[in-house]
Amino acid sequence: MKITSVECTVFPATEAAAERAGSRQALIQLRTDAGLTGLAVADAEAVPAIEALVSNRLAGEDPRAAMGLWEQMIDAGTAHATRARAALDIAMWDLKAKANGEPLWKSLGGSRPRARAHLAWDRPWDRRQATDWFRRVRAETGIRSASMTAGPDAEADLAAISAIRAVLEATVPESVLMLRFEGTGRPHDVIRHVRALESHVDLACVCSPVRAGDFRGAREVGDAVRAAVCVGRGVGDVETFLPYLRHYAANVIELDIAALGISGSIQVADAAFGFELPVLLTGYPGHVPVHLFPALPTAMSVEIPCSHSSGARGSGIEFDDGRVSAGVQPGNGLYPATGEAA
Amino acid sequence: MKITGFRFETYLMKLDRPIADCNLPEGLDLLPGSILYLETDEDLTGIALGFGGGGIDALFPLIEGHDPREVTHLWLKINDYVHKLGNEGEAHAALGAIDIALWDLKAKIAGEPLWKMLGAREGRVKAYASGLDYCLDDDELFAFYRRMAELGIDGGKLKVGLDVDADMRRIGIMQDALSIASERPVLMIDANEYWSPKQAVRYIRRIEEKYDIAWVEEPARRWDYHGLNLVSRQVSAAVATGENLNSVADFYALIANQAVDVVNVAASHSGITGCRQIAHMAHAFGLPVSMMNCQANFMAHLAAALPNHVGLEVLDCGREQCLAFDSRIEDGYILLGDSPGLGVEIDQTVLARLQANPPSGRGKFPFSRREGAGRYIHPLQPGEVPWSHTGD
Repeated sequence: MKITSVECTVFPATEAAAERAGSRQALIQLRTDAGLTGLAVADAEAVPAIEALVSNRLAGEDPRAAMGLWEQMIDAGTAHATRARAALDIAMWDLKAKANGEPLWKSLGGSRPRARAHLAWDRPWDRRQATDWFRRVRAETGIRSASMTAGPDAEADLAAISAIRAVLEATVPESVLMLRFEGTGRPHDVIRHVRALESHVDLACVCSPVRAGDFRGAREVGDAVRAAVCVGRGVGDVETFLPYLRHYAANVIELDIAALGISGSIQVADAAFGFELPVLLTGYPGHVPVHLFPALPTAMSVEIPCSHSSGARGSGIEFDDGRVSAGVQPGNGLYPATGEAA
Repeated sequence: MKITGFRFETYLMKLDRPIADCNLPEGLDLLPGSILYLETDEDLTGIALGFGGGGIDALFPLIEGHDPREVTHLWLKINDYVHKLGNEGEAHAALGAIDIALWDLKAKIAGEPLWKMLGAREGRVKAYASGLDYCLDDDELFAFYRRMAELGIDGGKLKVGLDVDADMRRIGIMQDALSIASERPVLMIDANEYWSPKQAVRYIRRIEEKYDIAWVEEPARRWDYHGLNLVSRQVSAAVATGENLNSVADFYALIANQAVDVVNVAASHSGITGCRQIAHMAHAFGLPVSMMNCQANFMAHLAAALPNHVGLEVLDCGREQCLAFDSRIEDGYILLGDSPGLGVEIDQTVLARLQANPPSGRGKFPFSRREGAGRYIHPLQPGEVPWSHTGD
């Protein structure tokens, strides 16, 4: 099987996507001479880099060599290459699984997933909208863990997370409540913010509390608050995790397949296992990360975001009593939302 | 597809030549071998090659009836099962064998070689020569490394540890033999945990006065992260270690404490899955890995898929009498074929003959640590090795 071309279709911006900068997305369809197509979703900005990587590096290659081609793309290092190579890696693993006629979770060596999951409010806080969404999804899925994005004011965040907790009845031991920062904070601002909340709410994790690369700042936060410090969102190379591991600056590792692909996620998850660090899986269209969950030694939870992709869906995804499972159809389950793609 | 049963065969093999390190200078030429066959309901069988050990009976119920393609999940299941007593001893050997046989099956089911199943771009792996040569005289030493150099192999690892002058002479012989493959052969040495850390520093620095050594292997005990770190800081060569550890958990202290510069990985690291975990952790730390020797070089399949692999140890001492395998060495690289799975077949006729008439030979594996190790250097005794102790 050889890669022949790639087709990138930009989705129309949804209301949710329009609220976040740079969040227009594209459906990536990686074509082969075997008639199989590998699917992924990427930020629209990555499309030129995806097309360049396919024509310069991947055309004529066997996509089943995903791990080796991942290293080739790492070496290529072009602009927007992080998201581009991750999308192509996801599409190649999709092909690898389809070529074997098996779901991605089986290609990765996993058993059928029953992944723990948490709901993520990743839009600006609106009490009515948010509580309505959590109430509905809690009823549909049974999930009682959640994350929300921190705002500038700790008091407002306390009110918001208390409202989420009340809706989710998230007081049982297996519930986890997480606070996500934007990765722009200064350590002591974050420490004051988190401590103010921790007087009232038991937080399991604070995610991306400081700038990416500021491992000393992350360690400072981790030493000062009760919650675990989680880093990794948006990180697309293995090397960036090194100082966090070496300096014990992360208590939880977040694997963002939109940046790290499947290949890079396997590598970082194994490193996390060596350090006995739990891993969170960032949400992705079609809930593709669910496939990874059973193959990762220290998988903790898969993010189920409130913002949906408008152009791709995941087939076979089922929720049951707070767990999420993937289907048995070949590949990663992604399919184009027919009629919705522009 | 479901796993339905297993068979476990053991046998003895006589090597083409004796092998030794400084813990057993006189060497041995008899090794135990074992083969695990994992059977399925669809006429496909997975195999794993090992050094004996048992324990399959105890773990088999954990995988019976499962789909062998779910190998990573099954590895985690067994690893959790052995939690209390640890991934040690028989349980460790059995976990590794089961995992390898499962990966063999997973690739056979897909009809592709394991290197491709693991995502490698090509089945091609850099090799280096390793004589396990403490018992070879100078002529035999030259002949071994020259034979390897004729295959294009341009790196060699010499067993050292008890006589620094003789070791330096023999490094020169190895270098000379390899010089037809490269103007600057890569030179490595291996003391197999004989020294204490400070003994290692003195010994290695003497050697480094004359030779550029790429890495020194096991210059101190396998778990001594402080001692290994000390050696690493005080010599020019990189410190390689890890072959006698069991799993990624054992590597944690070494890697976290910067006690290893080249991570030795092996099939005995809890199978393909466990070995890959260690390599990936090393990769996150920017550390290269080197695959240890194995029958038919079958671990080259995994090495081909590792982003940080630098060289696979090739012994070529005749451990493949009952094996047919789809790989060869050319221009210094192991070239893996396209046969499904590990590409290894068992010659049942030869195996039956080895089992019916076990060969005789010298020595016994595994062997003891040598007198004086870690405390002082107990000099070589007359007749212990066939070579001169007098250095140059």
